[in-house]
Amino acid sequence: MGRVIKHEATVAMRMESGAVQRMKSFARGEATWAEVEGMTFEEAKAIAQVGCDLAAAGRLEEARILFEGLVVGNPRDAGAHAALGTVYQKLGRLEEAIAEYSAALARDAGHPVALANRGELYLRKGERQGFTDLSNAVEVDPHGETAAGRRARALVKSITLAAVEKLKQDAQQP
Amino acid sequence: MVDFLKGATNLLASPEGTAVEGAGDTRGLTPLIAHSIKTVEGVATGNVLLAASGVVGVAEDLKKNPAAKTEYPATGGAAKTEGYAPILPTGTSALDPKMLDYEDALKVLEANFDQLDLADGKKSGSLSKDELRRAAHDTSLSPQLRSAARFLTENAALFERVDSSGLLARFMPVVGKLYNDDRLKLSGVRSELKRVGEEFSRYGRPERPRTPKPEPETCPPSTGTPGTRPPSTGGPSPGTPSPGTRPPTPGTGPTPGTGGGQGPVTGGGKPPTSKDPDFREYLEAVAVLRDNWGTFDTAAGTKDDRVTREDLAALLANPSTSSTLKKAAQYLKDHPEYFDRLEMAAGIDGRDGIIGWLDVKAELELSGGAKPGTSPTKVSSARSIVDNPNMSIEDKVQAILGAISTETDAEILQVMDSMASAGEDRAALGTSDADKKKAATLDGNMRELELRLQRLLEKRKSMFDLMSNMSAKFNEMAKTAISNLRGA
Repeated sequence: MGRVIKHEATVAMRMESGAVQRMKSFARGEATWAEVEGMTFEEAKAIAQVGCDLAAAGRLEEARILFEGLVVGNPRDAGAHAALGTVYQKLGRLEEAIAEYSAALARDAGHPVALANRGELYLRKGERQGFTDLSNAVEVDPHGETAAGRRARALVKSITLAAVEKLKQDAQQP
Repeated sequence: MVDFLKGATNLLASPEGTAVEGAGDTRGLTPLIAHSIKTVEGVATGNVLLAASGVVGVAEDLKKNPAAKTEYPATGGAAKTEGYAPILPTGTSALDPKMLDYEDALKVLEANFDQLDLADGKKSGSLSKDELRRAAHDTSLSPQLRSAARFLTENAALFERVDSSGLLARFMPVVGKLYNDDRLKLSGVRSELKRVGEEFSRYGRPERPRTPKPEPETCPPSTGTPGTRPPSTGGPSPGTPSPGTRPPTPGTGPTPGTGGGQGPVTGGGKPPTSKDPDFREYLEAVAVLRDNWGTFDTAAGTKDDRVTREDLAALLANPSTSSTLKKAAQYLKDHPEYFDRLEMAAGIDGRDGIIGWLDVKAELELSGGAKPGTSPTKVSSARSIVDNPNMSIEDKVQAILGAISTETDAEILQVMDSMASAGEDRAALGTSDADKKKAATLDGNMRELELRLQRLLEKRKSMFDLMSNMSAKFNEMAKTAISNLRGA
């Protein structure tokens, strides 16, 4: 990450031993590669922002590479999984998208982007779980802070409207 | 676009999905669904407009928020940062801890640049490596200054860094080569200090290694006040020093004070910098020297427009000298490092033991010295009162007047002390001709002191009157304001 490291013997030894420790804990599965590299959340956020801009511009392959890198760097980042899921979804790789959303929800059960998008995909597949995901997405993002949360809200509203209308019609039929 | 919604609707409206209203509670569906259901019920009862607007609104929402929009929400708390490297806390830095010493050395160098520059008797505006090397071994300089000079001579890479540092060097590296002439300039030192500060803020401030470090040569703080000289190391007696002789300077050994005496070391033991706690007293002494230049100049008997150590000694030996003058003379006598600094302030003739009028003027200008009659403490205390946001204008005026009257009181006491000492001197005189002459001089001094005391008392009285008037006026103003408020 373009760090300038200036040190002398004792300090160098201390820093080196720190890096070795981090590598060891990575090998044991205790630390992420992002931690070994010293990548902070702020840096990850900046990279993710570039990925979002690329995806918005339609440069999905480049966005995919960035988000796949982020996921590899820190598999514990639910946001990176969810963002990669959206890129896969746009690329038409729906199964992989669902897998990424599920991975995101395994780390953060209340991730609005993963919930909303997985809910929509499930509904497309005709699974009831989709509606539960959508309603959960509305619950975790009640003020519509994310685009996914706002979409989930609109979807839930329209589904409910239509469903009740249908029920009413069914009830009126002899 | 939303074909799948039909399927979803069927799912919800399927036999196992009936009684949606109940499901809103039992299946953990959100209140939004229940609300939507109620809206639909409203539609069924004939509210067509509401139904239309609801459907249109939903369609617009879906259009505005397309499916699978890639986003990376910044919210999420501590869980979001999990798996990433923590932000470096204070004290954890990738920078070499030696940079701390480097910064300290630059600060000391900046504060004492002129003094070092004048060490060879000439003011060239820059310091060469040789000059620094000499300063590192000059026992008449303070330990801090010596260690700063030593640090830069021992660390060639850092010396080169300051050497090639300048105003334009940061933007055009080629220009840095032009600056690189193996001479340090004050602008380069300042520019480098700024750069070091920026590096600290960018990469974090390094911590000093905890390895035990041999104690640098230090001098115990002087407990003596001006006028009472502390005992010097190895000196013959802890009493008053013989006038006109330079006090013994400490060696370069790491353990000063191991000689005969236990007292603190003077002479080269104090850094003559603006950070020195004695620096204020020094400036006051210089200001007294400026205000009484004629008296200092002629103290040894001749008017030559220069003040030497002999002048100071003569002034101190003269019983009719005022305590203020004695205090200033004693201070300069007791602090040879400051005497040296003063005599070289204008950069004329180097270290020759002669203070010229230009030296005094230059020193006061360089150090932002006191204007006649205003000491730094007076200015700062008045400013602190004026700048205090918690005080009303009335309080500020009263506080300033109070401070001034306190100073007047101190001055009155000082005059009374002088009168008392003059009275004692007068009583001790005999009937010889010389004594009669002295008595006449003392009588004249006494009359002057009496007049001064009278003026001070009048000043004090008028100050109290002013304070009283101010207080009455403010009181009146407040009363008027309150009565106006009452009438409104």
